[in-house]
Amino acid sequence: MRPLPHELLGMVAAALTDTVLPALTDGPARRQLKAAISIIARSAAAIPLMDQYLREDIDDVASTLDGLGADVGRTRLPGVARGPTVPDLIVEHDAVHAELESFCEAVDAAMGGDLAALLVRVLDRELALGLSPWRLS
Amino acid sequence: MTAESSDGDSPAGGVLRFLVDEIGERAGVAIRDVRRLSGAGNARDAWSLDVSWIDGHDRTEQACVMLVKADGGQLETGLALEFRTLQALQDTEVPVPKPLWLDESGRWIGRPFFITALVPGTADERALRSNTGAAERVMLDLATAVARLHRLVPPLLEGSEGSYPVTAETAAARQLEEWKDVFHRNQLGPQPAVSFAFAWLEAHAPVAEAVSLVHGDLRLGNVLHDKGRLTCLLDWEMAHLGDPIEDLAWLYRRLWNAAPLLDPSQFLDRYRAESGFEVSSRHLAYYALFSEVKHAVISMTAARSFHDGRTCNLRMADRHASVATVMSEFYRLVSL
Repeated sequence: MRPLPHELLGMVAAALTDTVLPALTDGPARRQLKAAISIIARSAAAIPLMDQYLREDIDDVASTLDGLGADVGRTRLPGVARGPTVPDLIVEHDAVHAELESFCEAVDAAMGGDLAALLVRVLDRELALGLSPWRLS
Repeated sequence: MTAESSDGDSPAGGVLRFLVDEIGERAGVAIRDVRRLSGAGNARDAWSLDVSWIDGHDRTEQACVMLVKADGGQLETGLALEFRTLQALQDTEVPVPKPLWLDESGRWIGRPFFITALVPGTADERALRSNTGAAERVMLDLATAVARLHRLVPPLLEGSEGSYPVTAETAAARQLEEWKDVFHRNQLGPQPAVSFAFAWLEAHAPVAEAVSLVHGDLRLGNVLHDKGRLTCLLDWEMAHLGDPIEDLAWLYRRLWNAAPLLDPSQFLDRYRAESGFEVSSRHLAYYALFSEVKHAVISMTAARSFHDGRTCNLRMADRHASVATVMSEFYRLVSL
């Protein structure tokens, strides 16, 4: 089944850039098309990375929370059984992130330690997907 | 009454009827050259127009700018507060456009809008980035203008204080409370990095040196300049009573890249001399952190508007993905 969905999206972004964008003069329509091309291109690049990203992030958050939970006497909430598909992984990812968010709201906000390090790793992994429209030099 | 427009989707007809209602049927109100302006941001659409009417025996001509609230945006603020802020700043040393007419109802063109006098200049940053002399002068003008703004004695925004007064002790907490509320209403999924950042900011909130009117979105894109001098401060939609240092930290965020135009220390020297405020580095660092969280929440609000179908603006569609960028900056700064 070629092209794969992400390959197709990449080709669509390239075709729009090469053929439609030059035909539009500066204005709202051109700016909207540029935004759409950027979203399509970044999504095309991120799709092949999603499975590995989700598995690594879930494992890291869950295991770090286990450690932190033991430290403060909390018990991990039961997670969602991991399925083989990306939609299954997204459900599990949402569950562990919801638990992490609850934990963040409950702890003393002293910066540093395992929790802050985990949050930095979570953000770094998300940025590595390349979905953000902005980069800081 | 007459209306001329050069843009097909122009609101000229509705605006003219509104102005006739405001100024009077017998004033011979006319509008012409209604043109859409680019670069007004994602929260409003901007138009330029010329308005004329008979005032006594003479015909008055006024070049104007009209700001129309977007259907859905990255901010939840209304236009009325911004209009009242501009009114409050008339006859002060703070350069702002003169507010002329406001329609909060949306009945004339389908959305609320207000009209101000046109001020000469451009908000295009590229002109400054290619001219270091002009950039330095505009940034020093900005330091002076902001210092004068912050010296004004509140309350300038009567009725906007909410449930408890903004004091030096509560200024940071009030902003955190307001933005946390926006965060909870607009997040599309769990955001642990943001939640923890709010908790950290709440635990480390400083006492303000003073309470003043804060612009709330002070950056080069909202500064009008002409011939290498500042002419006007625009976009007061996030104005509020609070800690003045908030504006300085927002201006010098890494994302806006203002430091190459004027070194922050030179800006602060001018600001301190004009305002009399001390501006400790620790205090500034706190609001640098706050700024990243505030921007993360604004991005979430933009994404939420698109997600909920309140806007078709594709520039807001994936703004949620930018939250990781600004929150990474928060954690980088907090570790310094």
